[in-house]
Amino acid sequence: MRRRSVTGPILLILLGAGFLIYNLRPDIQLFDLLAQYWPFLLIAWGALRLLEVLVDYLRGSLGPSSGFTGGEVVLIVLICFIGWGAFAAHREGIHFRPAWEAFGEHYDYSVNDQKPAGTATRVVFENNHGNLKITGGDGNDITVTGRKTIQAINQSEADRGNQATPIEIVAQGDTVMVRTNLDHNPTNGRIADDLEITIPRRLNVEGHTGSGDYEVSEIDGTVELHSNRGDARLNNVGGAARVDLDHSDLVRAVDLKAGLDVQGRGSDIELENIAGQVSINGSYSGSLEFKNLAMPLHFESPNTDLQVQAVPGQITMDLGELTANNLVGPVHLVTKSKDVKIEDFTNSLDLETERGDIDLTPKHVPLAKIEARSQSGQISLALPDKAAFQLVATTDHGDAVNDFGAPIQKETDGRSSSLKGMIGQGANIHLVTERGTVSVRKADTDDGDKPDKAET
Amino acid sequence: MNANDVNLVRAIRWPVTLITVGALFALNNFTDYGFDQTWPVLLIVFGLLSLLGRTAHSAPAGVPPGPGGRR
Repeated sequence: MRRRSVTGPILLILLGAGFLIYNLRPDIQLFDLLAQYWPFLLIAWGALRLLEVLVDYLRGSLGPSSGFTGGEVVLIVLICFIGWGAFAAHREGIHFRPAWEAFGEHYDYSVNDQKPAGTATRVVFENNHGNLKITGGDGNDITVTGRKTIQAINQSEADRGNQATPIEIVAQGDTVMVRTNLDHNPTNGRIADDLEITIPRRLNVEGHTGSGDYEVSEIDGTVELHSNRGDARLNNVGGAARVDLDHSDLVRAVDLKAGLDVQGRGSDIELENIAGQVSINGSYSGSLEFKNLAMPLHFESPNTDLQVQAVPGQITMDLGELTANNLVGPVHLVTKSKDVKIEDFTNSLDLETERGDIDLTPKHVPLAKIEARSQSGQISLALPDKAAFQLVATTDHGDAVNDFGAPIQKETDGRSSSLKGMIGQGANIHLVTERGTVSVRKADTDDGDKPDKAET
Repeated sequence: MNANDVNLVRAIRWPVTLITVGALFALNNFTDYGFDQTWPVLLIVFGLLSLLGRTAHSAPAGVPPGPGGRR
């Protein structure tokens, strides 16, 4: 007789534990966690079965047919489909709530409070769910207005929830705390505070929310925002800003007079007119747009590492493409699979992509050192007519195209081609691709205009 | 290799597949390598498993691995 697998009972235990956590700790977003972490259930299940097989084998009691039953296979396929869908929905920002929570109605309550900020230098917001709109003003009061939405089966249940979650403005030393206390909600229903807050603009702002969007503007102090889920919009901030959002659809910062530090996972980022240093560290799947950054930019994601000294022009980037115009170098870019197009940059450029085309158009003469490598993709370099440079361009599988004539020699060996040569005394240019065409073109095609100082 | 080994290879086939599928979905959820990119790994794993099964079969020459494999 084959021993029955232990996975059935363990599955039952896990199911029970899941419901228990859900009932006791409604603040843990269990369904969202499951949408992300479900693959580890499959791995654990597989590991368990593997362990069972090995134990049977070592005991010598391994039967000939210890595979999975048809029911198990159906269950696994079902888990894969549901998990796949759940994660796709999760990434789109759809929240999972069990069906029984969809019952009930929404009840609205208004939220109002006001306290003088006194001599405080910092204001800290704590809101579990809901949006915060924080605006700096010239007065010395902290004024909160807004609305609380409670989902409940009836009015008295909603009232009970409202009474248990009063807003508090508390001064503690040099800090003023603004708390919505939504975690004190005794009912299981959803509850959210959407608040508009006016504070003295001199204050440093710190925000902590579970889910909800931030909108912060007209602040002279520093700004630090944390959230599990939500967007951030910053406008006209004087102090250093830090944005740490686990799941965001948008981080937008416009007119910052100091640095910006962005972390987390999300989709889009839009930055414009930032006077300080910008550092972005995280995983962003949408479109990124950087305009007019006066100080160095450092962007670091699992796939891309970009360092630029300043961006007077703009950079737009998504998962498959990076386009930039008017950069102050040295520019350093390492990326996995992107088509890269950089137009008009100063100082040296060091670029590496695993899979993607590279298209470079430096406009400043004299040229600085350019180093571009692609493992698979064509490299195209358009140089000013009067440029002086030393060129080595090679491709392992592909053609080489040269617009500069005799000073540059083309060599072909089997499927590989290369261009070598120098025009005047100039910077080193090194282009390498393993698969694709390398071409060196003239940017302005004025016919008959010979390259300056050509040595032949 | 004996019949027990043949059974072992047959028995680990599903758990290994399950772990692979789980790992690929975990990559899909937590890294930029989507399942739409990594699925060929499954083919490789199937191939390796059936290779393993073949070596386990061919080793006991002249003894066809019948049901139960007892001779």
